[in-house]
Amino acid sequence: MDAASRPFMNPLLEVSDFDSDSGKPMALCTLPSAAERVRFAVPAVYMELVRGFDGERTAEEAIDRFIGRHPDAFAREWLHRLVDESLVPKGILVHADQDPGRVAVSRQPKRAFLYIKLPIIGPGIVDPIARRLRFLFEPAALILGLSLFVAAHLYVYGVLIRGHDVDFNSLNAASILILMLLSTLGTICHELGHAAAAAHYGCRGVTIGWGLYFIYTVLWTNVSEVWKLPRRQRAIVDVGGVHFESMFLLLMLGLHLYTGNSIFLFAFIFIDLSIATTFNPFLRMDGYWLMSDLFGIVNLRKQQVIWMRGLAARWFGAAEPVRSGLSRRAKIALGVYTALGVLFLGYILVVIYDVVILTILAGYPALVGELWADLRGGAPALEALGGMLEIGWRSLVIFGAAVTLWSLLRGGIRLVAQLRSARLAAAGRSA
Amino acid sequence: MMNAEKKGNELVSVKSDESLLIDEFEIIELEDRLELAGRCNGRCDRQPDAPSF
Repeated sequence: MDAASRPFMNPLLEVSDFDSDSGKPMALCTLPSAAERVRFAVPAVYMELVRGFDGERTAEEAIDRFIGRHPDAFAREWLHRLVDESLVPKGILVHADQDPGRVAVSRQPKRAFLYIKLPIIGPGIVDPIARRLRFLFEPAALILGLSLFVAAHLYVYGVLIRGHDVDFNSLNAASILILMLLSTLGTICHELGHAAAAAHYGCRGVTIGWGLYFIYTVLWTNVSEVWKLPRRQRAIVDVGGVHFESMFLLLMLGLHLYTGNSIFLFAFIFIDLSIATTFNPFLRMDGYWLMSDLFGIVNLRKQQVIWMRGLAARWFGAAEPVRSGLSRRAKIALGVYTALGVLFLGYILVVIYDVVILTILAGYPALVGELWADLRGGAPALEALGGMLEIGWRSLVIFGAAVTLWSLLRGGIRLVAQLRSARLAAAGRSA
Repeated sequence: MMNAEKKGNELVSVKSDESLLIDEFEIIELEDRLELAGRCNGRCDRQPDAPSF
C-alpha cells in the first residue's frame, strides 16, 4: 500500500460490542464473504483508527489522525503494519477496486473442526420453526421445564427403574433401530432447542446438519450469529439444547407410562446418558461452549493451543510464540482446563486403542462376513438394515480414529518444528 | 501501551499460525459456533459397557 492510497472502512462492516474476558474492550466485526459470514473480535480502540479511513484521507493521514488522538499509545510503523497486514487482508478496510461483499476471507477450514460436515436443514426451514418455539425460553417456561426435568428424573431413577429389568444387552435388532430413531429425534429436538434459544434473542440464519467429530457421529447447529450476544445470553443458547431434549424425555416417559412399552424407558435412559455427555467441556459440545461463554474465553481450543505453545516455548528457552490477551482470571481457568484436557486426550487415546483398535477393527472383517452371509442367505430386511447400519457406524468410527491419530501426529511434528526454529532464532539473537 | 506493544512485537519470533485464528495484533477470527450433540448409532447393543440397571 503506497502512502497516497485511500482505503476505506468496508461499507458492509457491522460493528457491535463484544462480550469477552479479554484484558481490553473488544468490538465484534461481522463481514459478508463469498461463503459464510466472517466474524472478528477486534480491540475496540482499533475501530477509531478504522473509522478514520473515510476514503478522503490517505492511509498516512488516517494514521496521523489516530496518533493525534492517542499520542504515545502506538508506534507509527506498528500502525502501518496493523493496517497493511491485518485490517486490509481481513476486509475490514477495502480499496476502491475491491468487492466489499467478497473481500473477507475466513482462515477456518470449511468443515470447521468436524471430519465430515453435511448441512441437512437450512435457515429457510429452521428459522420459522425456531421463531414459533422461542416462547419456550421465557423465564416461566424455563423454570417449569427445569422443575419437570428434576421431577421426572426423581421418578424414573427413584421409583420406576426399581421395578424394571433394564438391560440394554437384551434388545433385539428391531428395538435397536427404534432406539436409534428415538435417539435421533431427541437429538433433533436438542438442536432445535439451540435454534429456538438463538431466535429468542433475535438471531437468524441457523443451519442444522450431520457430521463426524473424532469418533462420534453427531448432529450440529450453526449458531454463529449468537457471538453478537452478551455472554449470559450465549450461555442460555448453550443449554437450550438440553432444555428441549429434556422435554423430549418427558414425552418418552409419558409414552412409557401410557403404553407400558419398555422401549420408551430405554430411550429415556439412553438420551439421558447423551445429555450427560454433552456437558463434557473437552468435546466441542454444549459444555465446551458453556465453559467458553462463562469464562469469556473465545476460541477456547485455539487459546488452549496458544497457552500450551507458550508454556512449551518457555520450557525450551524459546520466545513466546503468540500472545492471547486474556485476563488473569481467564488465564487461570484456561490453565486448569488445559491440564484436565490433556488427561482427557489421554482418555480418548485409550478409548481409540481399546474400543476402535482392539474391538471394532478386530471384529470388522467378521462382521462384514456375517452381513454378507446374511444377505446371501436371504435374511429379513430389518436385520440386514441393522447390520448395514452397524458396519456403516463402525466404518465411520475407524475413519474418525485414523484422522484423529493423524491430526495428533501432524500437530506434534509441527509443534516440535516450531519450537526448534524458535530456539534457533533465540540462539541467533543472543549470539 | 506503546512499550507493551513494542515489547510484544519483539517477543514474536515464531510466525503467527493462521490456524490459530489470532494474529499478532490480537485480532481474532471467531470460530464457527457449531453446537454438537451425539446420538445413538446402534452400538448400544454391542458396547461392552452398555448400561444395565
